[in-house]
Amino acid sequence: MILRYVLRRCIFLVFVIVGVTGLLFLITYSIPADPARVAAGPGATPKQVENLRQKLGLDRPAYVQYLTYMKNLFRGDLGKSTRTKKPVIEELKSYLPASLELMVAAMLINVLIAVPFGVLSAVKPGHLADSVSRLFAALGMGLPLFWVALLAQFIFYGKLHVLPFGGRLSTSLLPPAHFTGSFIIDALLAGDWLLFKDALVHLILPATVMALPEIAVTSRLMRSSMLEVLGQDYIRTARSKGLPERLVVGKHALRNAVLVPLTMVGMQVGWILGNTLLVETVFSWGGLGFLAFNAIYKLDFPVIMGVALVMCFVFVILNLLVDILYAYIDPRILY
Amino acid sequence: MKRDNSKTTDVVRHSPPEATQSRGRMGDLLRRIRITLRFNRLGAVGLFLILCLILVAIFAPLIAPYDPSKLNIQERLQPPSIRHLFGTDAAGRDVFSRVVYGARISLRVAVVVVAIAASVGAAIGMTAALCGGLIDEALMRFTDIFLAFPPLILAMAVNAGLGPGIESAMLAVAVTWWTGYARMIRGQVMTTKNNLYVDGARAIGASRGRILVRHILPNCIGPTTVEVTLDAGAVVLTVAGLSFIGLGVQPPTPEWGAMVSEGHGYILTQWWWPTFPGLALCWMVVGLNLVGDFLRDLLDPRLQGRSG
Repeated sequence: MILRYVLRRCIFLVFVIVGVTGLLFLITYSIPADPARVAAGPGATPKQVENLRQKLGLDRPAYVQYLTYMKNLFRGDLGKSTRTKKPVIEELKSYLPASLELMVAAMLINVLIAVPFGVLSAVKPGHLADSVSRLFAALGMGLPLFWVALLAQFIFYGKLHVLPFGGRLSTSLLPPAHFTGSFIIDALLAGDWLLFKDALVHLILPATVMALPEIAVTSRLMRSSMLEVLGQDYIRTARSKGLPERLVVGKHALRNAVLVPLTMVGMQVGWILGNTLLVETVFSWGGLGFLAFNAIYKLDFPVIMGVALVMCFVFVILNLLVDILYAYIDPRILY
Repeated sequence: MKRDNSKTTDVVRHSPPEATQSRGRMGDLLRRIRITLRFNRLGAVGLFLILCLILVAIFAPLIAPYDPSKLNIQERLQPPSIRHLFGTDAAGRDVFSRVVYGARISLRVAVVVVAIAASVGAAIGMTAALCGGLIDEALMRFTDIFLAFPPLILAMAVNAGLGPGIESAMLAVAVTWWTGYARMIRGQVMTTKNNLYVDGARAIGASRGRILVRHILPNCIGPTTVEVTLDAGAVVLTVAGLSFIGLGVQPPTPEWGAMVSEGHGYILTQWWWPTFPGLALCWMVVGLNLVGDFLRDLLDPRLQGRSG
């Protein structure tokens, strides 16, 4: 049953990818700047520009160009960076792991903080946790994240001197041997504790800042969902048969209540992906956001489009995974 | 905000427009505002924040003590003082004056983007709901493709394509924002068009246009207003974010996101430069969110019943 659902989702995925690439192609195609002129350099004669235009296939009709673009895409060719002259796909490969590491850390922090907070404020309304999470929810979504990131640097590095300013490692350390691209995992695999600790310390601030708005949303959802579940008949049954409250809340209620925030995780990934652009820029975190930021300053178009494409893929695939996980946790869902 | 769709869609379905006298309506509205404010006190805070902001934007030349773009190298990087309330930046410009003028830009951004997004979304949503069938299906799948983009990423791509600048930033954000409205208004029209009074209007021979304008559209206005207000905050943040990464508003225009971006290298030494424009952003966004919540309560008949 679930296999058929996954299959159907994968077919839909193909449509989404065609749509997304089509849209990105449309943007590339309609930019006011002339790509041939840009690629030929400022000193090129009109004839040289024209030659290059023919060589790049830019004189052909739009649909031919789109098909070529798609063909190249399937071969993993996203063009060359106009800034570094390296293939875009290579650039993306070297920057993606850092972003994934940051995102996963942010999601973990989100779940670890938001779920207990939500449960606590549902079980004990008016408790300190309830008030704190209320305040948090009101502020969490109204704050400009890039600004919060700057303030965090100012407080935790500038004033308290407890966390590093930015970057993924201290400048005195060399990155571990490349295996997954995540410094934390690679350091662990190499058995280098010092490196592991250093990478972890560098991760704390950016990941926490990125998790803030998500914690605000998740804890409120968790609270309302928990309140609803606690009013159900089977909770009364569980209580009346003498189960300790810890088991009633922790086992019977939690498993059902956690479904609602889980549906939001897919959406949240979208926000987190957007936020990596801002947070990575502030913390000089060498991920996709940082890559995009540098590309924007040089108007390095192939790289900007490459980043957009990869983030889109990550978003779509993670959403698919969340849906499958959802079906796995809740056996009532039939597809 | 955008993620909170679920709550706003089930807000009030207005009863069909009644031929009440306008003064009666005014009085009724004022009474409802009073009642709503009684149990949503934060709504009053939000209204206050936004009202202040609008006044600041209107009277910016009177409030700002200095010309926001006047360079004064002798007074560069001064800490906050009586002369310069929020200090000065690296070019000696008065940060307070720049923040004051920034209110004009951010308010304009919020209004323009939301207006474009809501009109495009409304047009697509209504077409889908009224035509149904294949057109509905096609339009909604088209909407899904836009939803497959993480919001800021699509805005970044479009903005980069159009070239940096405030107009392209506003257009880019509008391009990513219409989807929510399309879905919401489609749903709203779908539920309204099957109501008895619409059948009634059709039975007495009202034209399609008249039914749409007089009987269906008024029912969409309430939920859309709430959504628009809640969205405006997120829109302002997104445009500020684009400006921060160098795409949206270009310096030396005094836009808050661009100002934080300009000052971001100075956070450890001259903290006031990036801090105050960021605070202004918070002021506006929190204000808009609170007003949005207030409007939602105001239009929710269930809450009216509670204390009315």
